Amino acid sequence: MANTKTSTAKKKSHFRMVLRQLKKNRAAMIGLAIFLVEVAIAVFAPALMPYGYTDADYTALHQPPTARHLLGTDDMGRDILSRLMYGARYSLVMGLTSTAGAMFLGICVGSIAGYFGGQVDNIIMRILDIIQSIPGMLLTIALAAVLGTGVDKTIMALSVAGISGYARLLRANMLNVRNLEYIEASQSINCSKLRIIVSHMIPNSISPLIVTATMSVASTIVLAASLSFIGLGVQPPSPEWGAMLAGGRAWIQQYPHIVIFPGLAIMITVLSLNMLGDGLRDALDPKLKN
Amino acid sequence: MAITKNTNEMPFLQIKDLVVEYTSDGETIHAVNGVDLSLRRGETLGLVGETGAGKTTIAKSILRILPDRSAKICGGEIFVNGKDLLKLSEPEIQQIRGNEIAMIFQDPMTALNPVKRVGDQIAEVIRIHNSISPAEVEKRAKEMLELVGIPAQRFREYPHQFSGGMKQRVVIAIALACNPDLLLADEPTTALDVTIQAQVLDMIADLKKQKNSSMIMITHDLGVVAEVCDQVGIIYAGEIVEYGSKEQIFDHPTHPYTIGLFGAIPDMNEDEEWLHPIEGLPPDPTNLPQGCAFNPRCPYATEECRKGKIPFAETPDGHLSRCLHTAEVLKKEANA
Amino acid sequence: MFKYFLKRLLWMIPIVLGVAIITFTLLYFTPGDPAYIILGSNATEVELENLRETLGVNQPYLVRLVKYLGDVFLRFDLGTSYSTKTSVTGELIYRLPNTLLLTIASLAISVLIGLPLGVTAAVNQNRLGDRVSMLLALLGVSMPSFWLAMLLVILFAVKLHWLPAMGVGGLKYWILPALSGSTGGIASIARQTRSSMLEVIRSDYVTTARAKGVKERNVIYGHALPNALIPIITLVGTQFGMMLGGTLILENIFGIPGVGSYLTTAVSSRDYPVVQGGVVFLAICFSFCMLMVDMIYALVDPRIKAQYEGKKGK
Repeated sequence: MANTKTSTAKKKSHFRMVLRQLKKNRAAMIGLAIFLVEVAIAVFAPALMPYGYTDADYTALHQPPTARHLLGTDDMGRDILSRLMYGARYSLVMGLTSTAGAMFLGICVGSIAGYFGGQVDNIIMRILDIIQSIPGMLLTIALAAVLGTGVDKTIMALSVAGISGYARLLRANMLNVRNLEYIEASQSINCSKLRIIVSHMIPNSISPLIVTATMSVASTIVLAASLSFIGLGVQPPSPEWGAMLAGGRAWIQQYPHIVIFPGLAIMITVLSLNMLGDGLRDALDPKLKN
Repeated sequence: MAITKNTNEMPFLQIKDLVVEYTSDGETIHAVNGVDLSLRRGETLGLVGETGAGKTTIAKSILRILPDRSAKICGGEIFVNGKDLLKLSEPEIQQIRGNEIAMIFQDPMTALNPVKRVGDQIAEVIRIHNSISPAEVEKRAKEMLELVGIPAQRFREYPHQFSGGMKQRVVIAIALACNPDLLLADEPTTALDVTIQAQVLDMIADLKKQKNSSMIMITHDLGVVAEVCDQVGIIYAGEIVEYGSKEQIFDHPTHPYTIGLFGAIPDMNEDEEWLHPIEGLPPDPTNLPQGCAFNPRCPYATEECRKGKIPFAETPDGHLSRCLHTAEVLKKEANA
Repeated sequence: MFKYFLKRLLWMIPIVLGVAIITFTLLYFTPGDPAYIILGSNATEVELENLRETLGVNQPYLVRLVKYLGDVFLRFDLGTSYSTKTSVTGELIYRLPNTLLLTIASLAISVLIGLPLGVTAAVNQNRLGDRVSMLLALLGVSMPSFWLAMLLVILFAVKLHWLPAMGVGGLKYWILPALSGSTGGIASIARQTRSSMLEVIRSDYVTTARAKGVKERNVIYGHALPNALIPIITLVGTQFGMMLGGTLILENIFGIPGVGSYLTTAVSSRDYPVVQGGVVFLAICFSFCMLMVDMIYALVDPRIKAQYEGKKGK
């Protein structure tokens, strides 16, 4: 009992240290701020939007940015700013839930491999080998083709495609942790294997996963947008950013603003998450600073 | 300074008032604080002190291989053969590194490049400093291998195929490959098994004699000093606190710190129950004590010791010590 | 070494077999009647039934799977496209050069620019040049390549008329696709190179090299960089996979008749043999690349080579 108490105390102070490091990192804080603002916009979109996201103004088609429509209008006269604000919901929900899903499933698979070891581990790893020999984008597209379109299906496709990365990472970390002394110590006081895994090995193997997850929310958002862009994710007229880009493609010659702004929205989101992820990585692994 | 007494000739190596600082996270670490020393050709000087006292920093300053990001030589002069090394341009000092002055590093496990063949690592230093044909370079590199007791057939092997002792031999071969005038040996035996420490030391001393090089031997092991050194400097908190010939220091240690160092070695002839460590810890180099840096740990310290930098004073047997209470210390030691 | 290579090459067979089984199974359970997809809504039930018979889609799962695997592995036949009625294998091989050209060009540009950029940034850590290039790299990794592609088209094709917006032909047709394909790669390779160089640059053996009188340039490129390469090579491998996947979209945008555009068209028209064949085909390409990566590890690091050869290194 005393053992777990001291180890959680230690973990807490480590966590606090990481947090303090992170707070000192200006870029990470800017990233976090941008991301939180976006989350707020997405949540309060209905109240904040100047127009409805489906409101078509046929007297104002393809308008470049004006005082009335700050980011202009699209081919059906819909206000791009309003659509982007509402569309943030799609990107953020898909990015966050798919990453969480992939991470959860990955941790399950990874710890099953780590827990049973031997033949089970071997079989799981070989299956992961097979899945990982398909480039990620292609796997996602294939899964999306099978599952169909729509937000829920896309989230499923993205989650499943992301499993192998997390599973492998967790298992590798568990193997590293397994040989450390405190695991031997808990074995020596007769902790059950399951307990060792759940309360010692997973918590201690997870911090690299957190950095990966932050970064992969970013890449998942891009992936989701790419799927919608080629018509496999969320379908128009939903104001998903990738779908908006796809819709604007036809007008690229005459009205480039229709594709510039949705892409900019994706990029700012991804940028903020990458800034946060970089900061998190430096905070967890300070040896690279200076 | 006073260290160069009794000689009319210019010493081979002379360091004057060297000051080195590191910066880390906005804090300044005072690693070397006004070190003077000198060395004649063929002589060996032992620099003795605890970990972090600034010994390695002095050696790296001579070669100017301190990390240029965090370390800064703030002042002083380093003369070798009459040239001030700190005033040379980068290409000029490159000519000297590995050629006139070479260094043996502390940890053989990390000092060799893991992706290069050991032979090539020796050959490289020969190639840089001599304009001879590749075949000749390889021949000389193989001779160096043989010289440190490694069969020349192992020329094409990689460091991971070598044991720790063998790696240290390779490091020594690299250092000696160009017959340096000055050899900087940074704790060359600490990382090795006790059984091969003596072998390696003998080898260094032997090769040094063959080539009539001067040497600075950095160590915290007084046994090593007794075996190979002519002169000894005791370093504490980036400062030489006592300086003299090996005999003077060993027979009549005068600075309280030096006495403490000797006291920490158990005497084999007496049946001692406890070791006698020096009380306290080495000072925080970001915040050194006022005056004599040793004063918080020193049994003889008085108000006077905290007032300013303590100058060298000559001891009764003619060596130097930075202590205001030499007479008192010697009296007490004589009674002990 | 060669033995290890052969072993790995043989190991690819079960991997590719696994990929074929997985994709076949996934698509088998996908709703949608192939006969209906091919003939459309005007076909009669008899026509549909006849076609099902010819395609063999009435047979049970295992029979079809074994037949498919036999076709793929014994006759190298990936099937026939529903929509064009042409051989999938032939079409893929015809289109492969375009895809490989785009992928390899993007990868080469990424390495040639990203690597020196990362090294320079590491050497000048925290100076202005480092800050600026890392900021650009951060923007680079955050930019979706298909959006960048459209921006480049707007600028260089629509506004400036310097380069063609789409199609294939001479060198100038490849500039925009390769540029959009490589930006993310340049940025992430530069970032990885910087961080692994920063780790290596403090190693004792780098100081040893300096102490030998090696020129600074050679210290960095000759002594430090070779030790920093392993994680960079790993990244280059994953970048190859990402770029191969990225062609699915870029080929669409730039109208390049490659494997990627073939696949995306097939996905939207539910042309399953093409999807299946394309996935297996690209997985083979990717596996080859990863095998090359593993071989390059051994060239770079003698310790890994010793491991491959089964000798006990320390």
